[in-house]
Amino acid sequence: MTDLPVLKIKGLAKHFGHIKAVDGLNLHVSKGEIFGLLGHNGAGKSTTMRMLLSLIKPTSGRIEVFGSELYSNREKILSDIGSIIEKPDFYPWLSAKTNLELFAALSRKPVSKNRISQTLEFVGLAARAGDKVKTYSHGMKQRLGLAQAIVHDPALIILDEPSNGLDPKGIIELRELILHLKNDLGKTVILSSHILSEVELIADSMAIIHNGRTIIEGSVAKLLSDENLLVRFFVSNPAKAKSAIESSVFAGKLIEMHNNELILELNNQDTSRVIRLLLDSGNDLQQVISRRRLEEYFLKITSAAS
Amino acid sequence: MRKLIYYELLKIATKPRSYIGFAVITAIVLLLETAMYIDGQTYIEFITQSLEESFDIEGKFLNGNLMCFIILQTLIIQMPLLVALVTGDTISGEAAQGTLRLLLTKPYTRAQILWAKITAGSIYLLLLLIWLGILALGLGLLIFGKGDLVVLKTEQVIILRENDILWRFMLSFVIAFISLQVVASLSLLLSCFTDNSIGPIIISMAIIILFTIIGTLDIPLFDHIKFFLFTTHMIVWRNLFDNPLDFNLIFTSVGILIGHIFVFNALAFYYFKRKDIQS
Repeated sequence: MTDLPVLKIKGLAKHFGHIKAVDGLNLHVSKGEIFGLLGHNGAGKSTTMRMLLSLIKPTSGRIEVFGSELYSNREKILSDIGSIIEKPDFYPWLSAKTNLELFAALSRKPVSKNRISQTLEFVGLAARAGDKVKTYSHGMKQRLGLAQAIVHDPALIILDEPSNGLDPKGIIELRELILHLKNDLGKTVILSSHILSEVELIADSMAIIHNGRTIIEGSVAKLLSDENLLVRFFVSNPAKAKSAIESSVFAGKLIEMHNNELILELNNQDTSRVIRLLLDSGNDLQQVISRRRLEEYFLKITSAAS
Repeated sequence: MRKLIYYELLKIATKPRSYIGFAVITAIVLLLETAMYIDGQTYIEFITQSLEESFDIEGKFLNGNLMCFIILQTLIIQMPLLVALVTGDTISGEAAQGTLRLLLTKPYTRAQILWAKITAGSIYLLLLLIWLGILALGLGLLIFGKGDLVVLKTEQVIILRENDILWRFMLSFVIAFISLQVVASLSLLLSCFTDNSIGPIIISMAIIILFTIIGTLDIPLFDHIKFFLFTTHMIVWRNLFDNPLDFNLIFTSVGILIGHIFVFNALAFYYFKRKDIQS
């Protein structure tokens, strides 16, 4: 990952009549990173992604991709972008292979038949490549969508809700695939997802948008490092555990207590100290579960913005 | 650009809906030719009953040329629907199934994409007319043989010699192509405005029916607008079977039809280039 910007958005706005779908958005995506675009439904994520692909014309603002202004270099820039927007749709009466050949040919980059076969193999559709897309499940279409996005070897990949409709196995495979694109092939990936735990696992940077504006942007690790965790401890002696926690200065705040379960709000660095404290108080620790930090962070940030 | 046109043609060629036009033309032509082969002489005698009082009719009245003329008169009503079935679906159909947004993220200008769709639609229309020509004229001549063409009009009977007919049919097909291109351009324009694939087809047909009704009603108010309706000029191919030919009328009508194609396509380009793709 370098600091070289692949995408720079400044003051981007899109108004549909009196509705401000995007309202002065600023973003910066560096080369070789996975960038998560987060926001509630209607926050402006999809409109932003559509503007990045010139499907929607901005009311105002500037989009720079690979250092050039998007609208004056549209064709050149688009030849180096691969995307899935909303849901992967194809010509249902054509086979997956023909669909892929069609979109690869329109990418204006040389794509060999071998590359098409390799891509289908890569997304696990080689065995069904000759079947018509209308016979595909949603998960298979999603994988074909990904194949379509990467078949022409683009430098920037834009994925709008790529895990929609995927089963848990599919989500894990998609995560590995996106990480492979970044780690092994050096691609830059911009993705939006409702599954925040997924974004937390793979994204290097993120932005949270709310009512069409960026409310926070930066490195995921940095943004979450200052955050307290919600940790659930399942203990053998809750009374002793409670007393130990209340007498400690670092054990955070006790949020809830049910039977043998205690939920604590902890500083990120204090989890291991609290585990030792509970063990020292004569408790057997049956289970420790940390709630995903990004979910908490997202809710906190968007609630504050509301 | 060639690639875009090739893939637009591939989409048309692989879509089952595209073959409805060919199937309907084949069915109608075969039905008419079979019926006329079996019972044509009785039909012709009935039609020419009144003429026998004034003329001595000799020779073969029912021949391939007359069959082609009858088929053209009949099919000119259905052809716009068959064309709109394909061209009315080109943009809106893709919007409805979600492939339009994928197509528009490819490195081609919207004008290039629309141009490719117009070209592919025109090639489809041309193939449809060639098929009609092969069946109506080719098969007609094969089954019913050659002969002079007798055209019965309200106030006159026109007899065209056998060696004076082929070029008229060729020009008729050219004018039919221009006329149907107007329908194709109209349905494509309507297709730009919606994400529903059936809407443009129905609206195109509704416009044609409405204009045709206005064109046939003898109401003074409508007389002023009839000239500007494209449906008034779509039947100008019939004037190619007049003797002498009124070239002024034919050229004027063709000019108006081409004008409509230009206006409809220009509006389609204007709107499509600015359209926000939200589907």
